This record gives sequence, structure tokens and C-alpha cells, in this order.
Amino acid sequence: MATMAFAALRRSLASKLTIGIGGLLALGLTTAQTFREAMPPARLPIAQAGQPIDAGRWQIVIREAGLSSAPRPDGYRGRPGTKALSVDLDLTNRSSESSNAVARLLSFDPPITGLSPWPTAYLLRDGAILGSLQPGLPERIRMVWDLPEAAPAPEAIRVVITGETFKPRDNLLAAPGWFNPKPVAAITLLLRPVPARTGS
Amino acid sequence: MIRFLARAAALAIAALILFALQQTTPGYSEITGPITQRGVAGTAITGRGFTLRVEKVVLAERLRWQAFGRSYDRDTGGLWAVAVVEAEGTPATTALSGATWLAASGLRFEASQRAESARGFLRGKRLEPGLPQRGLLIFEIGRDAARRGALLVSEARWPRLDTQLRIALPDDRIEQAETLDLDTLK
Repeated sequence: MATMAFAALRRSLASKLTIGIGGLLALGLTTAQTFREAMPPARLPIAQAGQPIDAGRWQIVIREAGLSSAPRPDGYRGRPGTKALSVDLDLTNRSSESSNAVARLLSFDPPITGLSPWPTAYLLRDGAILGSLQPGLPERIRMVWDLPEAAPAPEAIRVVITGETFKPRDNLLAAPGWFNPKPVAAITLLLRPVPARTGS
Repeated sequence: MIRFLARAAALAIAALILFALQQTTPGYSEITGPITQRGVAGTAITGRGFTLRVEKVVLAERLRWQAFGRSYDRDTGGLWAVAVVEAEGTPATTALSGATWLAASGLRFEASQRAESARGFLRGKRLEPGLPQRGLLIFEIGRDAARRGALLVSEARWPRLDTQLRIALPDDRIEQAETLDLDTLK
């Protein structure tokens, strides 16, 4: 009687131990995976000007960067006391629908002090503020950030391009969408004065 | 042995059925998505809140129009597709915020904001009941999206549990033009 009870106890202890160790292992593995995925990649691929970069929803070709106080493509001179830091790029919408989600595409690393948080995007074809970009139709875009006139002008900037991944069904609404923004490439550009260009 | 095989087969069939059910379950966004109402260009189609008739579609390389005392001239990397439509709100005043060109390949081109200042631009304009209004839905589409496309029109830009007209565009309703002047479009 006593030996049977002892054996049962041992069995239950063994199974509990197995479950516990297995559970802990699974927990550890998923935690490690989460950490690994959340880490930025150690070395970002270095892109060159004129080279197409695949950033999920967008294909990007960075052309040039400039710093000037000349009027913007639509003729606007910017708020008084600011100059414009601009990046020219070709954008192609690789997704299946029209989109204007371009504000978070480019960021500066190291950050530039005094820079406005979000750029204004201009469609150079029209010399007007960019609306949506249609799927598969590449366009030349100029993104413009405000920089205070007094701020020291950097000679070169390092631009980090953020890409997203497509999910056919997201976790909330089971709808398709673009998620998990991550830096995909970096590019160093020299700043040159931008010639003024007015729209048609 | 036979009993074992039968059990294994039953299990496999159950797994298959469950897999099929899982794969074909519509997602939340599909269940609560737009309610499609099909139609064809040339006939008036009545949805929950509006009636719409597509008269014709003109494909053009360039668009031209007058607005704000100046003339606009817009080219494109693809093609302009201008749909001439007649719409009215039924039974109450409404506006159409959702207009999309659905290509045969599945690409969705939303009505272009580049031509918003054109006078006939219908998207977002007030539509009164009993006063049918002619207007334009203007799209910028890829060259290979021009044929066998369809128009998706709805009151909301992203309709949920609401009518979305899906209007097929047969070839005899499509015209071609080199430069299209929106002010003279009849």
C-alpha cells in the first residue's frame, strides 16, 4: 500500500517536473526570440545614391540632399527664420493600393537638432504637396524638413530608411496591412544647395 | 486492424475538415466589410444611400482644366482615367468619399488628389435627392490597368457594412484621348 502511494507520488513529481522544465524552456525560447527580433540589426546595409532600396511597401531610390532657403516646389518660402533640409527621392508604391504613408520613411541618425519631426512631401511633377502615390507608378518626390536658420548646418547627413512587412491578416481585425517598421538601410549624403524650382 | 485503420482514417478526415474550416473562415474585416452591389456602366444603380450611373470613361495622356484663375496641365507616369458619372443622393443628401479604380490584376487606384481642383470633381461633393448631378471621378492608373477594370464607389472611403457599387466597364464605354480638357468634357 505504502509503496504504491510512493510510486504514484514519484510519477506525479516526475510529470510535474517535466511540464515545468518544458514550460520554462518554451518561455525562455520565446523571450529570447522576442528580444532578438526587437533588436535593431547590428549593421545596416549601406546604400548608395541612385541605388534602389526595397523597404516593404515602397521601393526607394535616394537621389540627393540639400539645404537651402529658396522657395519650395510649390513656391512656399517656409516659416520665417527657417531653412529647408530636403531629400530628393524616387518612390514606387509596391503595394496593391494607393498610399500616402511616407512620413516615417526616412529618419536621421545621428539626429539633427532643431529639425521638424515630420517632413512635408512634394510631388516634383506637379510642384505641389504630395497626395497619394498610385501602385506601380514611380514618382520623383522631395521631402522637406524645417531647420532653424541659426542651427549649425551639417556637412553630411546619414539617412536611415525604415521598411515595413506585409501581413495578410493582422492580429486585431484579420485585415491585410503593413506592420513592424524596421530600419532596412542607411545612406550618407552630402548636403548641397538646392536650386529653386517652381511648379507648373 | 480494420478498426484501427478506420479510426486513423476518421481522424485524418476530421483534421482535414477542421483545416478546411480554418482556412475558409472569413476574417472580422471581411464579415464587417463593404456589401458589394454589382452593376455595369450605362445603367443607373441604386445603393443604400445614393444612385449612380457611369456614362463613359475617357482615357487620356494629359489633363487640362481651369481653376482659381489659372490653367492646370497635368501629365502622368501612367494614364488618366476620367469617369463621367451622374449621381444623386437617395433618399437623403449625401456625398461620395470612396471612389476606386479596381484593375483586373487586383490593384486599387484611389481617385487622384492631383486633379481635385477641377470643377467637375465629384468626390466629396454634396449630392441632393431628386437633383441628379453630373460629375467626374478622376483616376491615375497604370497603363495595363485600363482594360477590364471596374469602379468601386461608396459613401465612406472605407465602407463598413455599407453599399459599395462595383461597376464593370465594358470596352464600348471607354474612349481614348491624347489631351483631355475637363472643362469641355461632354
